[in-house]
Amino acid sequence: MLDLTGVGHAYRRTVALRGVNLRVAAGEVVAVTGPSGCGKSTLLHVAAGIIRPQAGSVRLLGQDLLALDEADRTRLRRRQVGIVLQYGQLVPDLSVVDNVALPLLLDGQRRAAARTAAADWLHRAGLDIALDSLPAELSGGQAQRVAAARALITGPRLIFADEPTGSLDTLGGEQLLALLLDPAHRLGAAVVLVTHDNMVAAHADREVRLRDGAVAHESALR
Amino acid sequence: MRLTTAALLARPAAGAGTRRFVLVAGATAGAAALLIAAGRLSMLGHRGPVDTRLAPYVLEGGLRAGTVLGAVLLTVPLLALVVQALRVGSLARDRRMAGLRLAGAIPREVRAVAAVEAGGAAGAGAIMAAPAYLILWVLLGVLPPAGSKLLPAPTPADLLLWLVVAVAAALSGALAGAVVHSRALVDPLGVRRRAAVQGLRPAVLGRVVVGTVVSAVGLGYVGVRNGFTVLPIVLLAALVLAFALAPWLVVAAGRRLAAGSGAQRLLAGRRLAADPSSAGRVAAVLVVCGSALGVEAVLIDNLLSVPYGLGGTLGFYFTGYGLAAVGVLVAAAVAVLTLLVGTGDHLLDARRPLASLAALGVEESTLAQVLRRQVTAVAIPAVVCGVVIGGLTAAVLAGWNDGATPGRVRAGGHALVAAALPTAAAAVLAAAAMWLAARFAARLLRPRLREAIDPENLRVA
Repeated sequence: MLDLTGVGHAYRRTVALRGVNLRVAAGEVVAVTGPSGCGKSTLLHVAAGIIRPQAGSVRLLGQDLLALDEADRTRLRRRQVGIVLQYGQLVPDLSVVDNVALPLLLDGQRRAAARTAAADWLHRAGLDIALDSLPAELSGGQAQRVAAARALITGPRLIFADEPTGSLDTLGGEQLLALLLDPAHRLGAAVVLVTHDNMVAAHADREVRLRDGAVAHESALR
Repeated sequence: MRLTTAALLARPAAGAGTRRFVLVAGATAGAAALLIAAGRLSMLGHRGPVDTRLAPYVLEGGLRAGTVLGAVLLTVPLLALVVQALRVGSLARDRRMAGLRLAGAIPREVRAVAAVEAGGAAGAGAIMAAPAYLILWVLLGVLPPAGSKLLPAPTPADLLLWLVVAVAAALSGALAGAVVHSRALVDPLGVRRRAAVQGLRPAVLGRVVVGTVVSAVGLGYVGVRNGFTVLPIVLLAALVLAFALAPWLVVAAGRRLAAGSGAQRLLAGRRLAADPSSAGRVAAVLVVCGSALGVEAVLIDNLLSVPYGLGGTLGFYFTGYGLAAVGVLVAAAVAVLTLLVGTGDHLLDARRPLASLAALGVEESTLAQVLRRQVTAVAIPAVVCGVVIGGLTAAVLAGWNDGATPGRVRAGGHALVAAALPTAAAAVLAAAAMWLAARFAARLLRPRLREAIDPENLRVA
């Protein structure tokens, strides 16, 4: 599913990743943990093809990401990868249902069909809200579940989540994790969770701990 | 991506989105109406009888060309306003575009959304150009007395002209939207950077060189050969030069301001130097307005100093100069409005740091002074520069055209000396007008400033 080899990346003089190797198999849930500034988010962005690393190679779903151009990487993400960030990911002036429908609309689906699918996913996410409400009208937990529904609507084979529960209370966090991990359990999708929360990491099959941009420790949790 | 999806994503949002739409549509309507007027005047006499109640400025072929050119030049500040308006709410829009990228939109699709958004607003403006042209006709073709009318009555042929201008305006708007957006490199994590506009990039250097060479050679041709047919090319080259150099003028003004003492000067100067492109467009328009004023000042002075007098024709000349002055005033007002739009938008984008400054104890009146300095630091040098350039150019051309003493400018510089007083007077007047405009602008922006420094904004991400 995902294979990172010797990945290195730096922001000007700050080295974020140093020779990181990471493999994630189908159906596996991997938690990437570590202190603030250790390179967790950069690792996720590299793995998802949002950032091109300065060293190493990244194979995502059998494709060499470095060989793909920006548009092809984005299309791959749109169709086969789901991403959830901590906050600020919904398009503020689109309604909740249109936000969730967006990946399907961008892929050329008709609006009515895309909205129906989106409404179904909002229902599965346990959201009892008006479909046409705007993101600004939602609580933090609701907005995260909408983002999760958007990430899952295409049936992704790989799901990345960067501190998905960071702005949620315990119950909200548990509900969101259940939603995100369900495809792994049911459909064999792989999930990579970036978190500094041990409670979240406990849901994973394996923990990869980063320190100063390198893998410091790796352990199976199940 | 389907067109319906692009239209859905391009739909103007409340607040900044609506303001952007209204400004782009309004400025496009004005510019398109002027272009229709210019087209209508160009076709005068080609088909059917000419209305003899029209003013000589449009009836006589030679003068009509100047009037048409004036109408076309008046679109420049409006187009600068369109470009500025396209950047309104850029912070919120950049976030929105980043959201689209995260949802899977490829860069080309995001550019397409920006193009549809701008094209839609420009298209709405192009449709409104028809009523705008009718208003223009009422103002210039109905209300003035016989002999002073500047626009003939509309004909069915104008409908075709409107269609051509409307399609061109909508397409140009879409292109401008895509180009303005392409300056921001949006990735799913947000805007990485806005492409730098400063520096001696080859394209800018090319514009400076071409603008300078064409202006100089063209002016020489106009002066020596009396070849006024090349004047539109000279003006176009001068515009290119002004728009290429104006951001540098803004950076220089900003740095000079920041080097002085006082927090207001520092804040205003750094702000100008950080984003010189929007203020640069305004500066370019004001340089052009100033140049027109400088030329007018010298021509009026020449007219008044003719020893044998011009008798009844004096009124003809003064009416012409008066019309040109009104045009300059309108252009300058649009330029100041553009500056207001840019500054007001910055207040919205920078509301968190501004609220932080207020929390640190910086008073609202101090921040209002910063705004005023931002406007004056651009507007006054630009307009004064323009007046001096215009005055000098007119003096040189007047000297060249003076058959009694050929080449006296190059030999003795008498015409330059004679032009110094009217040029200086025009510069002082223009600077004073800009100072007043800056005070007025700062007052208009005060409510926006008050909103920006609201402590609630400390919670804005």
